Amino acid sequence: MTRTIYTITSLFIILFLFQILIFNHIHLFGIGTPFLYIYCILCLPNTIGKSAQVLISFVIGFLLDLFSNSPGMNASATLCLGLLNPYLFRIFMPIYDSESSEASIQHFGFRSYFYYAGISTIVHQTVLILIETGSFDHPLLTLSRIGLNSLLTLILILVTDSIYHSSK
Amino acid sequence: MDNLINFIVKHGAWILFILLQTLCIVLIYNDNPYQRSVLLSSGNQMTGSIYKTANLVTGYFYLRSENKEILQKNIELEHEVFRLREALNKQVSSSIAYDTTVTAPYQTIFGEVIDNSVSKTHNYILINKGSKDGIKKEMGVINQNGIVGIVSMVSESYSIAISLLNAKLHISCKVKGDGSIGSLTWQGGDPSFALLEELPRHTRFSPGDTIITSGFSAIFPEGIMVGTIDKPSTNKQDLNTLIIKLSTDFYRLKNVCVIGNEHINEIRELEKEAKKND
Repeated sequence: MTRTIYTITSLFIILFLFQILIFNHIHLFGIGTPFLYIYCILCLPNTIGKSAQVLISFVIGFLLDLFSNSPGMNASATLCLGLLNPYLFRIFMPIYDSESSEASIQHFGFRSYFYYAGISTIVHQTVLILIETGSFDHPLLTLSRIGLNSLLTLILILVTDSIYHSSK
Repeated sequence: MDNLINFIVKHGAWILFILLQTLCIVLIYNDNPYQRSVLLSSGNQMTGSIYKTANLVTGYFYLRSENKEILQKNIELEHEVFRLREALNKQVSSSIAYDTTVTAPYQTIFGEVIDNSVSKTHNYILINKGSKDGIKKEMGVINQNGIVGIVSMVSESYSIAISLLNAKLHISCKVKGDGSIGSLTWQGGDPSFALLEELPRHTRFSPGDTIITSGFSAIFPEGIMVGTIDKPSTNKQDLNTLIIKLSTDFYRLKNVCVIGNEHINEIRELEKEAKKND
């Protein structure tokens, strides 16, 4: 358990730095920004309980907000993700391997993990961008931002997960 | 109490979520000018539409008082028009003074009817102008449509006129064009009809002919509209009597004009002397 906390904390610090130093400055086609830091939330073990997940998600989002000068926005989005995550986990976790508490491609299988990460990302991006835009005045732009951001984030999550778990 | 604690434990994640989300919204609202403006303007839109709907309903509650105000304003304006017309007439008559002073020695005073009745056989009209405004006995009262009555009593600032709708009153009238003289009376009943009696026996009249004042009584100048012929009287006894539709609407009497003949005393004295000589 202590080991898990260490690994997740170190993972979080690394992803956090990546996010604020690199990914926040990427604007693919002027609109696409990956939000890899939510991988930490996806990695949270299911055993710590829903309330703890919600709280940790909030703290992660809030810390990111402090550094990206967008108070409340990322926190609100990650909060939604933190609430939804346990339910998604229960839906996609493999039946034969009910003891595993951590989400990864190895445990879930690529297909299940892809859906799990995909839905999480889309939810997070939708909330975040709707808060940021604040209106439905340019639905096409908003939708394309949500789509592109989700796609970039999802690809990076899958890549990171492969690297992270193969290195162990 | 146990239930409450159970509830909180069971739904702890949701409660926490709602609390933290509220905190997020507060943060977003406080620290992001754009998001704040969006929240405020959408709030304004909602309250705006609510107020608009409410106003649609409450607007009707003030119609009565608004109506009253408009009516008041209307009266004031009408008065103003009368006043200006009077001034204009004065201007015109003074510019051709040499001709008019001899033929039309009439002065006009504008007033308002403050009490009026139509339902009795002897109706009177109370006017808000009196002797200090220059009103004397036996002056004629007209309005924009036709004749109204004759002043019978004058106090300092009020005067009472015998309405045309008064059985005591006889006014000398004539049929326009033909020139036949008759005497106009009213004998009760419908306030929009009067009788024209004592017409010459030989003449025949068609309905719609105009009746005007004759100018013989020296109270009214000649040619003031009285009404139009409606039909001959159905009563067999008075053969040469016509029913006249009055042009003045006595139900809605408001602004009137009092006309006085400046030479009336002279005329009266002359008449008195003539009678004495008989």
